[in-house]
Amino acid sequence: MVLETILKTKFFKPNLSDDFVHRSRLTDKLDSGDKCPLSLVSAAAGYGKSLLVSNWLDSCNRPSAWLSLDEDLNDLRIFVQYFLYAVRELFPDACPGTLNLLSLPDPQSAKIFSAELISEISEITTPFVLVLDDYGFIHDPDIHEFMNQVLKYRPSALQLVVMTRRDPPFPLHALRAQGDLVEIRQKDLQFTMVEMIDFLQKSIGLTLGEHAQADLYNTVEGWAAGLRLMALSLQNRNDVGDFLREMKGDTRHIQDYLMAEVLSRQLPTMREGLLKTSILSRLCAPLYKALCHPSREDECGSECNGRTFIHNLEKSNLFCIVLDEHHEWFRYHHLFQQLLERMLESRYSTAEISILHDNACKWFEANGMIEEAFHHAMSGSDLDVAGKLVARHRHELMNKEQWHRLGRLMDKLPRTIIENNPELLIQDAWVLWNRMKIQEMINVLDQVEALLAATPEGSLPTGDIRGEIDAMRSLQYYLVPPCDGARALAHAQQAMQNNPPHQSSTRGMAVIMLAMSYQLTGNLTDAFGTIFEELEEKQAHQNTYHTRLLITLCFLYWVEGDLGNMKQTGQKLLKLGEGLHLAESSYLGQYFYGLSHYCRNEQGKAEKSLTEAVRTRDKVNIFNYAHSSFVLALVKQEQGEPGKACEIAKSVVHYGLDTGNAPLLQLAHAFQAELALRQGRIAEAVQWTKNYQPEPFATAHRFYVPQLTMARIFLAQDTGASRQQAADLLSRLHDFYESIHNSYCLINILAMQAVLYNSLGDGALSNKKLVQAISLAEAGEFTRLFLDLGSDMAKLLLRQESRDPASDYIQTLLHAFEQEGFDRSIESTSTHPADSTIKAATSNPLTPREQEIIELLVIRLSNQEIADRLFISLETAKRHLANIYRKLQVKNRRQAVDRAASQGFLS
Amino acid sequence: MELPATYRIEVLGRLDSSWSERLAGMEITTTGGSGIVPRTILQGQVIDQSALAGVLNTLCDLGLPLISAVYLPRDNNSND
Repeated sequence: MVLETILKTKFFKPNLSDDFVHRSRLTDKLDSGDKCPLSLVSAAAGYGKSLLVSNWLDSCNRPSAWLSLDEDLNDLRIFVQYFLYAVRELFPDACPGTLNLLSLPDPQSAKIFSAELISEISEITTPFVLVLDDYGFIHDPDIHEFMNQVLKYRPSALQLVVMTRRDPPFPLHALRAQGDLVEIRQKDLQFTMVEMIDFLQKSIGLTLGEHAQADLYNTVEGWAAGLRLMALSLQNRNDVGDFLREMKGDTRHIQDYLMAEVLSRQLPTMREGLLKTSILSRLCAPLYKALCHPSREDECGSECNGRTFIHNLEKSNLFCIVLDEHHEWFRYHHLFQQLLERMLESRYSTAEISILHDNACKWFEANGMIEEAFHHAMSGSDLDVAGKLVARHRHELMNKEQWHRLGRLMDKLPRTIIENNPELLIQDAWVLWNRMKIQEMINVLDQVEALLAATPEGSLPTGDIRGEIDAMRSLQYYLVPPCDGARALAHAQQAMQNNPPHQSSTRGMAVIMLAMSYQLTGNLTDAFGTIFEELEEKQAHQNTYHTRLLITLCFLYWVEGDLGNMKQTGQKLLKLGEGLHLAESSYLGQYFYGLSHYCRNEQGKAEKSLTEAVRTRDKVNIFNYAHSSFVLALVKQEQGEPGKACEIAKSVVHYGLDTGNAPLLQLAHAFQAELALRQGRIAEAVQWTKNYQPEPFATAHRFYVPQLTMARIFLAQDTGASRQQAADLLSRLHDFYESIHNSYCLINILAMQAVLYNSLGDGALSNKKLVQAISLAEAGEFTRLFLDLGSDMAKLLLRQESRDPASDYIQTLLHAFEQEGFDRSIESTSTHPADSTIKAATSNPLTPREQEIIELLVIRLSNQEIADRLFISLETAKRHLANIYRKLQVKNRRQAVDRAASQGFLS
Repeated sequence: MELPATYRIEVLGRLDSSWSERLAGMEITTTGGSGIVPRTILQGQVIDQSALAGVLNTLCDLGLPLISAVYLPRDNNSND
């Protein structure tokens, strides 16, 4: 996997100002934490947490790393990467295994590499300190779990220091009771009288009388930020006593009062700059210029280009925090920023503040920071600007598959802005598609068309929008019953015309629809031809369009039942997607790769890929999330974790409920019935069929098809009536999926029909269906779906084996059944009315070679003699013997001969 | 407000008592059952405001809607 771009600013330890007061009572406490699994510094903003720890690190003789957390790190994989990077900054050779796991093309689950990381950190022997600043930003339960594991295994060399404004969900109570926790809390951080006096002396050279000291101490209550504000206000002042007497009231009052004082001591330009830049979450010199001197040319002096401002800011201890080592980016201390902004609002008009936001928006957009630009546009003078900003950058975001960001922006825009702008409206349709809200998407498409019809020709670049409408109309005719291949194809062809190459995402949808519509109408030559032709075009390479072509291939291979090619292409897709940092493409790569393994009953590999995929659901199309979850649930079911399987299904249900998505909810309920069936809760499964309306049938290019669940339930009920229901449904499904050339569905249907007709006593028809199913499934080597039909299917396959003994595929399937615990020597002797005529032939499970060997066992040859006689190696002879013992369920050669004789296998 | 202090927090939904460890050691009791929407009450002493904020934050991350959070003044009869 590709390492996320590591942002160096996150590893930057805050620097101390000259007037910092060293507080040994606190640093001693941190020193004593070297034997504890956790040192926690927990207090509200403005109590000097970061500065204390920074000061302690300077005197601590162990190597240390600093990691500032923020919202972006709420993902276990990303979190672990940063954690690993911090450790490797200190020990460049540490944790090679974790690094290796992170860089493997074959994706590992986050749980695996976090476990590896903990065990590798435990191997480090040099004591070191790792500081996690602002842990309060972390909400991801997986990260909390990871941290709890770290605390549990307590790597001996590591002193972990966690700083936060609110306690993290760690077992603090227990750690405290066991003496395993060093804690510095708000009351510890409060300045003592002595420290306060020391600070005032150091920072402004002020010595107060006893009364003034007491007054001041009572006012700021040891609050570090307040004390600093105070120091800034008291600087060069003669009337300290009066000042302190005036400063009464509640905290907010005191803060405002102090701020006013602090500001009044700044030069007017500095004051103006501070207030105006308080709207920013981070600032740099050019951004200052954009806000404070927007009209001046670039060549103006350092006064207005921001360098002076930044320089003064750094020099004046004005609560600014450096964000990078080049000292380019800064932010204000949160509390200071709040106070400044409050003051800005009281001193400037709303219109003036809006203009500041407008300018910030322009600057962020020009520098490629769209979300920050959008944030300011929403606070600016004209909301239309925000809408136009999204319209200008929507293709760029779609091309990078940043659906979640695009969705977030669209959700914040007022409906009236969206509904009057065709570009935003079409974007709304894309977002709805992404969220699996097809009917809503269609409604919005109608709305766009109406809006375009009402818009004078030429006033908008409508050509491209029409192309996008066509792509989604094609989708509509493909997905929504009755599936209309001809119309889907016509729209897809139009869409290819009108989506230019630089719109790699929307053109990608056009090409997917073109190939899929060809497939739907049975024209495979053009379906594959289109994709291969496009793949040859140079401009299709190394971008989202390229991944779209691979995605189309995977869908085509799936519908065709070609698992081998789907797996290979899925792997390529994953690699390309990760290389290009495309969330959706990588996700689909995992999905196709995992799916191919599931279908071949290789659950371990399937689990890894799919677990990885399902984690990132918020970044992808909800269809993809739902289907990956369903496959993963079945994997868990096969791995003997039915509880986990149900949980996964439930989380899809919850997602459907949370997002008010009725079709998703229906699909998830159907899948729960499938699980009920597999877990032996037949009554529950049957109950679902009573309210489920299987028709109209729909195209299926993803894994889960609810109608197949219904047929399986009818089959499992095994009553006269249910068999009839199964027969009816399966034959209608067969006709439909044959008409749209969906081999995957057909294999499932045919296999079920084979079992069904056998139980109805029609051996000939059963056999015909089985042969058809096998011939469609053979190339892809599907196994799981046959195994799902249980011993009835195994018996049919045994019968078929006797007719077609040379078929490797049937051998593979039978072998898979044996692995599942099916005993062919016993099953084959049980007589079923339908196959009594061929019973004698089917009951011998031995291959011709094994037959030869057992004949030699009768004449008591040794292994070596058998090998020599048959011109095979001793190893091979032993392997054959092992197979014979297994098939006959015996432990030695004598038992084998006896069993073979008693069953009439010996000639 | 003098701290540590005792709080009583009520949320909608069920919460296993094993969570107590990660919720400042507060005692967890869940009421309700068949037909009644379950509610969970957490009660106990928290060290300070950031410990309390941690508890509320974790409950929020767990998706349990908050019904009430009440400061319980020190009992006159108790010794602490």
